[in-house]
Formats: sequence, C-alpha cells, structure tokens
Amino acid sequence: MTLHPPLPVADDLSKPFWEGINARKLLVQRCAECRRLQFPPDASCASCSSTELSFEGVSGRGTVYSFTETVSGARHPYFQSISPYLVGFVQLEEQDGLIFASNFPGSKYADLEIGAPVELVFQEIADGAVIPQFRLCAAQQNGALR
Amino acid sequence: MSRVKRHSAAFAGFGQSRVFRGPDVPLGDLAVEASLAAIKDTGLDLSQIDGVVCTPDAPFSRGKSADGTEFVSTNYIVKALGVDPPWTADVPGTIANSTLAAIRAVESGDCNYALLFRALHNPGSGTYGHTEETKSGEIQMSGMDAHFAVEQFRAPYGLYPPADGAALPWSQYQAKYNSGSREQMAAFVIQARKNGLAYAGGYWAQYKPVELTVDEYLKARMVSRPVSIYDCDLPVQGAGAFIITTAERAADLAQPAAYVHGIADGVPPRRSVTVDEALEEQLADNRDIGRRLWADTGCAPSDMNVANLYDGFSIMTIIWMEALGLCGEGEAFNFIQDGRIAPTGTLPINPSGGNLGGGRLHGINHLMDGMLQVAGRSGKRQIKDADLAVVAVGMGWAAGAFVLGKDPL
Repeated sequence: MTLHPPLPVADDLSKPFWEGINARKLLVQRCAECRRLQFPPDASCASCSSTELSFEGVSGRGTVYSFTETVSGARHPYFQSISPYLVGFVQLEEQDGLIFASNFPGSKYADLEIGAPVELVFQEIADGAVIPQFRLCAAQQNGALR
Repeated sequence: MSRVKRHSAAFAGFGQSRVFRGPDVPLGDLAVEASLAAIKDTGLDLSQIDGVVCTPDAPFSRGKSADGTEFVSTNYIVKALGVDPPWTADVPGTIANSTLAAIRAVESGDCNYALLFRALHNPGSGTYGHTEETKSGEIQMSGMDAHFAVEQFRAPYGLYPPADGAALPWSQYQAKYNSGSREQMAAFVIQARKNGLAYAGGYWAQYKPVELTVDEYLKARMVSRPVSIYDCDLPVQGAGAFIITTAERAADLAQPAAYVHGIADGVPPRRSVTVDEALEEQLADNRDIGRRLWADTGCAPSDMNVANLYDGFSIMTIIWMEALGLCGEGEAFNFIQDGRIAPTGTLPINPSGGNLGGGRLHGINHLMDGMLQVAGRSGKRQIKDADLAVVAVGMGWAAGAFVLGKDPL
C-alpha cells in the first residue's frame, strides 16, 4: 500500500462540508441570526450561539495567514517520507477568522509571505479522498512580486 | 500601589524528585519522592496533610496509560503515602490548574495543608505525542484527544502540535512586528540554559552541564522553521511537589513562605477555528489572564522583581511577556537583549532555567523559582530584593498566572 496522508473522517457536523469538497465546492456555515460565517462546522454559532446555521459556498480566495516548513518534526510516516514540507494556514477573503490549513502546493519556503494572495485547488490525497488546498496566486509563484 | 487584601494562601514547602531522561525509575516512585521532600521541607507530619491534588494528564501515552507508570493520580499518592485526606482532586490541564485548585481549597477551608504534585513521564525516545491511524484512516492523536474533532481539518496536511504550534505564531510575529529573528531569540535560549545550570535539580545541570553558544543555537537542527531543537524543551521524567497552606499556618512552619498576592485562570475560549496556533488568539487568551491577574493583585507589571514565564517553546515566553504587559507589544525580542532578563538584569526571567534550561517539568520549575525567590530561599540564584514574582504556567485554557510576594497580605 502506498503511503498517503491521514484521511479526513467526516462526522455528523462536517458531512456536508466533505460532500461539498467531493463535489469540488468549498462550503462553510453561515449563521442566520448574526450572518457570520464559520469554519470548522459546529452545532452552534461561535459568535451568537444561534443554532440556525446553513452551508454556503465561498470563493476560496484568501491570503497566507501563517506558515512553517516542517523539517524534522513529522509524526506520520507519509509526512516523514516527504519532509521537509510546507504547512500553515490561509484566511479567506470573505471574513477574518475563516481559516483553513494548507500545504501551499507548488511553492517553496522562500516563496511564502504572510498576506500573499492564495487560491483554492483540490488535491486527491488517496483514491477518492479529496482535500482543499491553497496555492499562491500565479504572480507570487513566479516570484514577480518579490 | 494598593493591594486587594483577598488572598490568604501561601506556598510553604517544595520538593523535587531526581530527574531522568527516560523511565529509569518508575514515575510513581518519583512522585512519592517529591511529595515526601515537600512535606519534609515544611516540617509537617504526614498525618497533617489533609488535601492532595494534582494534574495527572500525561503528555505521552503511547496507547498505554497506567497509574504510576505513564501518569500519577491523586489516588496513587494518597495510597502510596497512606494518608486519608478529606479533600482530593485530579485537575486537568497543567500544574497551573491544580495549583489554582489548591490555593482555593486552603482559602475556602476545605483543607489546611494541601499537597500539590505533578509527575511527568517520558518514555525515553523524546517524541511528544504521536498520531495514529486506526481502522480506515481514522486519525487519533495520542495524548491530544481533545483535538480529535478538529483533526479532520488538520492532520491531512501534516499539521501536528506541538512544534508547528510554536512555529506558526512565531512566523506571524515576525511578519507583524518585523522582529523575532533567531539571532534575537538566541539571547533568551542561551540565558535559559545558563540559568538552568545554576539549579542543581535541572536536567542539564545534572547530565550535561555546558552552556549553549550562539553558534550552536543558530546551527541547530530545525524542527519546524523557525523553531529549532533548542527552542523546544527536553522531555524528561521527574516530579515536583508543593505544600500550600494559609499564610497564618505557614508562619509556624520550618521555612519562610511565599504569599499568594493574586491568581488568574485560563478560560477555554469560545471560538470556531481550525487552529490553536494563531498569534492573535494566543496573545488574547494570555492577555485576558493578565488582565484578571493584575486586577486580582492590585499591583502592576512594573512592580515585578522577577518573572517565571512558561517556555515549553521559546516563543511562549515572548507571548507571555507581552500578554502580561511586562514589556510593550512587539518589543519582547528587543527586551530580551543586553542582559535585561539575566539574574542581574532589570527583569530576570526564569532564573532557575524554566523548561528550556531544566527539562520539561511543565511549570514546576517556574512555580518553584517564583516561590523560593520571594521567600529568599534561592541561594546562589537569589535575585536581589525579589519581593514580588509573577509566574505564568501553560498557555490558553490550560494555564494560570500567579503573583507571589515576600510579605503576607
């Protein structure tokens, strides 16, 4: 069996999110009361505690929020095998605090800069298992802004 | 500055076990060793201990979790010592959380003499928690079960606490303040080792009593950039214990006490994020602890003569410095330069080495140093005129902060 990253396992709250990913859509929850968006999915709104939440699509555009290059700290055999690798977070343009993990595919550590624009791509990490990834927008990748 | 006369608790005794790199001696034996040493330090008789409390949480479990081997519970010590205290508790989190419980127990009258202990296991290989894949790819972080639900959004990216949890906020700090290089951080890490060598109970002092050089620090193996191996504390096996009593009772015991002037708890935040490792959130959580700490004491950060700030990773101390207002926002990396945090500096930080200079005893070293400094019991590590000490242990919810004073309130 080939090595692959740990696979996401949906729970009751996250099932619509992962179904969305499989349909190549990025869905987050919107609160009907205070209109805030939130991710990860939760049973109630983290801002106002309303339980009136529904999923809606977001752009997938955002900026680099934080990043690191994991050189020697990986625990999982897959990530040990690809070390060093990039990992960090992106924040979506729709709202502060809407944060997703990312490996910034196609980039090197020196390419990354907090605040740099990113866009959504989908990555198949194992047969039938897809996760959202965010890569630097083309101009940054080519080093044009650096 | 006027103080709120509210607290009546005092730290009256301390004991620490021998410290090992791995499980050379069963953890339960080390917890007993530390507990008996703390009781002996006060001159109390074992039968006078009427409260026992600890934080049993094991940072390592490796799927095994035996009381006395991977962790030590309150019940283990109660049985091992043969005492029958009316008040006992296991408090989750860090030793900060059980210390807060002990202080409240003596102040409320639930007990007169609380034995507070903490035992830290290290299986020997030095890995802090690990991820297991079970069944059909299910993700499980051993020792990190609280994070389970959110791991589906993190583990597929190879994002695992704890080193990434230090690297990511550090990367944000560098971008936000244009400060925080490894060259700057060297001043803190090197001072921590130096301080730790002066404390005989520390790991480095016992097994590898050599200072760290700037060159060694800068060339160190990277874990998660910019976190190197020397920005991470060294896992060890050992235990520490304290006797908490009232100021009134402490006056009759064998050693000068450290008096509780203020306390504050970490509170679990209500937020929906994928990430605990965000600078703003870590600062906000710790600032909230600081705000309540200063309100509780009636003193100001500038009144502190010594600070013991948690340093499981080097960046945590930076975050505590700024969150508690010991220096300005974005200024901590400048503050730590030029000997300001050395034992002879304007604000000595972690004069007994903390975790980085002594090994990962999860805040035992910080509470011990704060206590002994204000009690005037630090020997060659004694800071001149250390009347007030601030101690902050843990981060976020698994945290607490304390102001200890030389004089009772």
